[in-house]
Amino acid sequence: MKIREFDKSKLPILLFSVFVFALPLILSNTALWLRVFTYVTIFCILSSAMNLMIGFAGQFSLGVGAIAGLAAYTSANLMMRYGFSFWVAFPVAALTATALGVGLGFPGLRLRGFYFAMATLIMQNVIVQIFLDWTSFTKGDIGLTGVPFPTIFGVEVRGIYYAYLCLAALGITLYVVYKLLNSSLGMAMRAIREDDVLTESLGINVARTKMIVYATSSFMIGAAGSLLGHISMVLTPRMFEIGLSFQILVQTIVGGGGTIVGPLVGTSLLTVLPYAVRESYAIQDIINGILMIIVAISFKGGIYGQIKGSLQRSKKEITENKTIDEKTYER
Amino acid sequence: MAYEEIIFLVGAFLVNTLASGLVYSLATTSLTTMYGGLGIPNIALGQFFIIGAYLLYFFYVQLHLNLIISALATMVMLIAFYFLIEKVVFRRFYSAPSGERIVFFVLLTIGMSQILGNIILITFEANTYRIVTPWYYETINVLSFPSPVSYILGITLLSVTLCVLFWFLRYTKYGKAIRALVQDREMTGLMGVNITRMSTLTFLLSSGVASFAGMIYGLMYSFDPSASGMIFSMTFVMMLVGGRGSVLGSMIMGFFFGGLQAALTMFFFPSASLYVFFAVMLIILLAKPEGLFKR
Repeated sequence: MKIREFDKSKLPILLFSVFVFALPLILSNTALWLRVFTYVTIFCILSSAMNLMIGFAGQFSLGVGAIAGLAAYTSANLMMRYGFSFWVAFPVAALTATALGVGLGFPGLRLRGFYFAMATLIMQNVIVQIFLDWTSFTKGDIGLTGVPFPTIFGVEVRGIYYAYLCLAALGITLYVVYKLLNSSLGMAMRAIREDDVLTESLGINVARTKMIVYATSSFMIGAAGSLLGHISMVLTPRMFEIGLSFQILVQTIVGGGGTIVGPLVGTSLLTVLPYAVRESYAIQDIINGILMIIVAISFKGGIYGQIKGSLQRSKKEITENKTIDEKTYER
Repeated sequence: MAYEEIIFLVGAFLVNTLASGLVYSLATTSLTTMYGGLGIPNIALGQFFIIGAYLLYFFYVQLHLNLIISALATMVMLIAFYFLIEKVVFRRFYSAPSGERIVFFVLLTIGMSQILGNIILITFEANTYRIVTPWYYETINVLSFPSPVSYILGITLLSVTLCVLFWFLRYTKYGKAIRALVQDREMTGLMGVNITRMSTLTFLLSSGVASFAGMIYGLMYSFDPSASGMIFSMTFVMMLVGGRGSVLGSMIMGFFFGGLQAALTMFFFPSASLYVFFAVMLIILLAKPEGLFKR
């Protein structure tokens, strides 16, 4: 058996993951920051899933809020009303979300770009209206309170354990996204982003690929929505309004869409920021809006894309200088 | 049903249809000219709309100004604001390649809607407001339906505006240039039209029309921050069904959906109309993505 040699370029990633893994232990003294950490992990799942759709496959879907909301309500209702365990309710909720996501994606087979975005956006509004009207399921504007935490062998998973549960879910999500992108399906996705008519003509089944992307990312969104439901004190339909979709979109694009790391950077930054300045949700949304405009005006590819781009440029300059030197030497 | 009851219902339907239909027509025209002419899918339309009502409330109720003066002040302030954001933000992206342009504009207008919406939320909080004019509780009978005076006034003002807008777009030099812009941007430039100036004019005209409609909406109905989301989704449905860039289509669709909403609200529950709108939009989008009225 050959022992694989340790790749030095992976060292920072390894160190960073150890740091992230230790972070809940460091934060465990303050309930607020532990909760913020949990929120960051959940929102990282959401933005990674949205990035899969928008950044990689080029499908501008804005129905994230509704999908997450359906999953949150499903798992909360299954546990509270029918007495199912979390380990049954969680996958069922994620699967329900997948069904909704595929349904929302259906117009995407015919509509492109902006029209698809608008169709999903309006459907998102309608689904929130259904949440508001369907009071036996959601309790309407009063809100669903007392959603229980999951249990393992009779022990309640809360606080630091819940943070680790969410972190594990994020790890699985990132692994799946990474594997998916490096498969032939990932190539097909990126080809669709560039031009789906041309992709079809190359013999790739565009409809099937799109459906797989919708299903995968809705499953992730559903899982995250269910996790979000259990940590929130109260579930109201307003939580899942279009504002949530926009927030996740901002986090994805400010960080840098089309990369795996970008959304994580954006999400961490934008979720921690409002808690750091301790302001209301309205101020947070204003900050989000301003950041969005600044990013749109000043740099393409988001914060992560900008950093990566400047690093590559400096590297390229060095190599270019070298080649010129070598050429002059040869002469 | 007795004969008087039918007359009463017809009167109620007529007044409600005209009131909401005119508001929708103006808002949709605003959306269409901006999307067709400049390629901006104005996601902040709901906020552009409702800020008119809030500013009128601020000037008229909180500062106790005369109604006409407060309406003028509202419009002047908003036009100045739109001029500023057009100059600082939107103008940079008119000449970007069309695939990139739409992403930028979606981002910019989402950002705009977040900023404006939350500024409204902070200053006025999530309460329901109404602008109580001296004649607020008086009524005029229309086919035995006691219609509020504010509805009649609003309908008059809105229909005059709609006619003026239609005349402006159809018969004046500027209107023709704007319609040319909607059809083909580059070609219009080659024909000797100053594109930058025309774009600014289009932006100001369409956002000003939206705010004006919002102002009248504030005079007729009570409003709260959630009205912006409702107006936004309904007008987008109307634009997509009517065909983007088609001013006539959006006007007709405004009346059609206004009437539909009035009927559904009278005989079912208010949010029924949202579901019906959604179903109509989905069918139209899947069957005829370019809309009913091709430009």
